[in-house]
Amino acid sequence: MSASGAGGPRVQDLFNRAASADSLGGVIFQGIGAILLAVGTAIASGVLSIADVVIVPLNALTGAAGQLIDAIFGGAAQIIDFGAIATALSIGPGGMFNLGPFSFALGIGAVLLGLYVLIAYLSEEPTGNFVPGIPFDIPTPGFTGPEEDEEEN
Amino acid sequence: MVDWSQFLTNGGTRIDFGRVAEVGVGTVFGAVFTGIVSVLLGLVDIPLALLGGLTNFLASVVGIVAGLPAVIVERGWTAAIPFVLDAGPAGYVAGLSIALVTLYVIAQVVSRVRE
Repeated sequence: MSASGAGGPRVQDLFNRAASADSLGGVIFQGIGAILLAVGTAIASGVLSIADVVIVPLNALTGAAGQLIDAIFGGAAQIIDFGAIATALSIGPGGMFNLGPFSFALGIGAVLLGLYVLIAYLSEEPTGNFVPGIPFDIPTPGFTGPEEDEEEN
Repeated sequence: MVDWSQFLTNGGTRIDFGRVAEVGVGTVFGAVFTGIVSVLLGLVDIPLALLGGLTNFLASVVGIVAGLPAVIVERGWTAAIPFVLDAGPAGYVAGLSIALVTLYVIAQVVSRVRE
């Protein structure tokens, strides 16, 4: 709010309010009400600002967590998509691995191989070892796998 | 708008100095109250601005620290894309394998942390 000279809009507004009031008591009553309203506004603003100290960083954390989930699973989907496109382009017309009449068989083979990898992954037995298929576990200090817990019991 | 007739009396031939004084004093009181409210809100704005700055700082720190893993993961995926594109007919299997290995590592780490 900038200061204004005598007779400026702010003073004009104050004069209009005083002239519109029935009595001097009305002006004082309105002024005290404005002060009380300002105190209430200040308290409300303070409470909201204190709440914002927690809420705004939490919102940032939520957004970052969403970005991480999107990066992990969206990235996985994207790389599978790129792989499928690469396979299709390589066996398609003009592709380096276009086998003519056998391209269809090669395509089916690529899809079935992908299906085999997926099923092999899903049918893998649960293991406490960090890397399956090797006879020892890679130690992860501070965090033990499920088999280590069973051995302790 | 102001009804100027309120400052006149006796059929508009005399000035009601009582009312003029009342409005003048009321204007001064209004200015005083307006000043009090302005000073009060201005004083309150000081800690609120500090709190706002702290809030923005915390949000920036959390956004950067918590957002870095997403950036790293995205860069990792981006680095793997040329390999998949160069794999020819095995690109589909290569992409699927990379995704499954990554998800396996994530699942193992999450399961170990939860234990």
